[in-house]
Amino acid sequence: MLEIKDLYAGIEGNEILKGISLSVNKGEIHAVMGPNGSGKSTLSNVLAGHPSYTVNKGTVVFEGDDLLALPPEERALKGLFLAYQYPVEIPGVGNAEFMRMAYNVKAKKEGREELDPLDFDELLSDKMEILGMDAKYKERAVNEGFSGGEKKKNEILQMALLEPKLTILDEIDSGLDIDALRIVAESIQKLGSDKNALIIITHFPRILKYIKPHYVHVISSGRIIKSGGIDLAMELESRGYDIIKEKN
Amino acid sequence: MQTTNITKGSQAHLERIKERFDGFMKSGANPAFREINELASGLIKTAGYPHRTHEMFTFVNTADPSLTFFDIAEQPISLDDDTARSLVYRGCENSVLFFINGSLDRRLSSFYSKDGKISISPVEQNQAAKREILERTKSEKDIFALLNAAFMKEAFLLDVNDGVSTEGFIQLIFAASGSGESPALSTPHILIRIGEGADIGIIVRFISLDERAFSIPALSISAGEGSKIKYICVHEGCEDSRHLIKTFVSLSKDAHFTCITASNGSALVRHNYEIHLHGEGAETDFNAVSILKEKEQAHNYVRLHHEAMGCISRLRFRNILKDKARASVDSTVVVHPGAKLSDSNQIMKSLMLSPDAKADSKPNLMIYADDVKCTHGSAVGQIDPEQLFYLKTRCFSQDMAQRILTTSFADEIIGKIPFAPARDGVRKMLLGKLER
Repeated sequence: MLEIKDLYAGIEGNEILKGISLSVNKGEIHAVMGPNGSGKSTLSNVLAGHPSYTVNKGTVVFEGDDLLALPPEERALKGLFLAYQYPVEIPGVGNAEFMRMAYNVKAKKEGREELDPLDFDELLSDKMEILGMDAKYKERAVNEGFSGGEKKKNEILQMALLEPKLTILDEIDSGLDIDALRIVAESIQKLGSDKNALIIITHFPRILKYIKPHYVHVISSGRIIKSGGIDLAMELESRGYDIIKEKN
Repeated sequence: MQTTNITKGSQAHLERIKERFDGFMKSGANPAFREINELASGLIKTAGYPHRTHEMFTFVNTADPSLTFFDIAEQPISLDDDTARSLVYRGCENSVLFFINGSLDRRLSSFYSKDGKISISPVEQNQAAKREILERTKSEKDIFALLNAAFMKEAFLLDVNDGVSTEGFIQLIFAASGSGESPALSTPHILIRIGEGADIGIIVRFISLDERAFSIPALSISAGEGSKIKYICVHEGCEDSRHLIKTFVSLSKDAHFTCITASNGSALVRHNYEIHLHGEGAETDFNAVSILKEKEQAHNYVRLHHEAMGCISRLRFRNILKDKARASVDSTVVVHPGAKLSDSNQIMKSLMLSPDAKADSKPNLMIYADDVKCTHGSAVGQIDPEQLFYLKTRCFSQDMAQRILTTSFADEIIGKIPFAPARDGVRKMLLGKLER
């Protein structure tokens, strides 16, 4: 599904990713872990197509296409979804209407039926119930005045509606209390299938208690320095990022 | 009144005004308003014609020759029924007043008031109302409001009795025409009296029927104790038309004034709001929005006075500018001595969609009382690239994402219009301009 080869990328002349290679297949869950400043968020932004980042070298193939040649919206339409660490607020845009428009753009592209507000509301209500979100968040402006936890739930809500093939969860666990983390993680788990894939980008291993990854990668100074299974996450839990020093 | 230097240019403007005024007094004036006309003309002469150093016109090109090379608009003219009907918002069919070039058009107007609790009448024979206009003229500082008084031939009083509450809105349509070589000046003048405890909605719609329309309306709203007024002002100008609108508002104790002003721009539209919260606990929720393209201009000049204890004011301004459009907001909140516990907040935001557009913001506070809470803020900028990127990662194209963000920026004000047909109409009028 996703094939990253020898990716070098950075921002404002600073090279942050220095040779990332990663393969993700359908049905797989990958965790990319690393300390602050290791390049985790840069990786997610580069994959999503943030215009501030420059790719200097390497290739990324997603579902057979050169991902790096596509603008962000084409990447999203092909099935790539980035759940943000810090989702932006968009005052004046109603949350439900925003999601309906996004849903319909994708549905139209895929030749599916677009939904009118009533039908969409039914779908949205079902998804919100799973996430334990209050109906008041439908009418509010996108992310405006949402707590940290509600913003993260709102990201997962969009993921549930857009049904992406590959989701990148950028520090989705940050700012969540234990209960919210459990609900969000369980919802993500429910959305997983053998047809889609997940990349969980995280600093802390705690979310991996709820979502078990097939592969764990440790990133440091812009490179994946160690890959393994869930045991690697457990090792990080007990020893912290000291294992990076040993590796270096 | 602030004295301005008389330059050759402003002297020429004054001479043209005097020439028109002399002609008007010989042939067109209404004897009932002669005293007001002459008073205003004298004040214009004393004050001089303002140029850009005048604090009221910092951002407005008063040197524009069209502002004084005018003819008096033809009266009466009328509209055909289809055009007139198209201007009436749904639900206002039986509560609409048409003023064509300042004259009440009784044929087009349709105004039924149960028990006569809301009435419209000419001011000519109403000595108290005339005195009110005269007194206000004496203290008027805006040259164009004085021009209104100098060339006023008719004035009307909309009277809402105590305790009247309406679910619907009263719509006032001010249509200005003007063909010919010179701009055609019209000077509508309306007094609106809202009785104690009344709860009423008013929509004022300013429309240019022709390119050469030049309208300088004056509205005066006095709100009785505990009254509530929802006031919507919609400006729809033509490319070469000019509107300079003076709105005077006086709020008694616990009166509440909600105002939403929407301007689509023209060669020049300037709103001058003078709002006095003179009764304890009076409140104003003031909002203004404009979307401008090409060389359109829209200017808001607001002076809001907290004159009693515990008054609250909220002022929000939003402008979106394309091409070579120009907008300005010059807003001052004055907290007078004794107006303790005043609570005021002003926010001005302009979204620039072109490097050639220009927006000026000037929020001011003048505080002469203790124990008050007053804030203001101003921002001029472009579309937030992070918001744009977020939307693109949600499948929206660049154009769609940009449209969503610009629309939402304006809709934060438009969405506050408390009358759906007017809200839909303003959305169509303004948001349509964001189409490429």
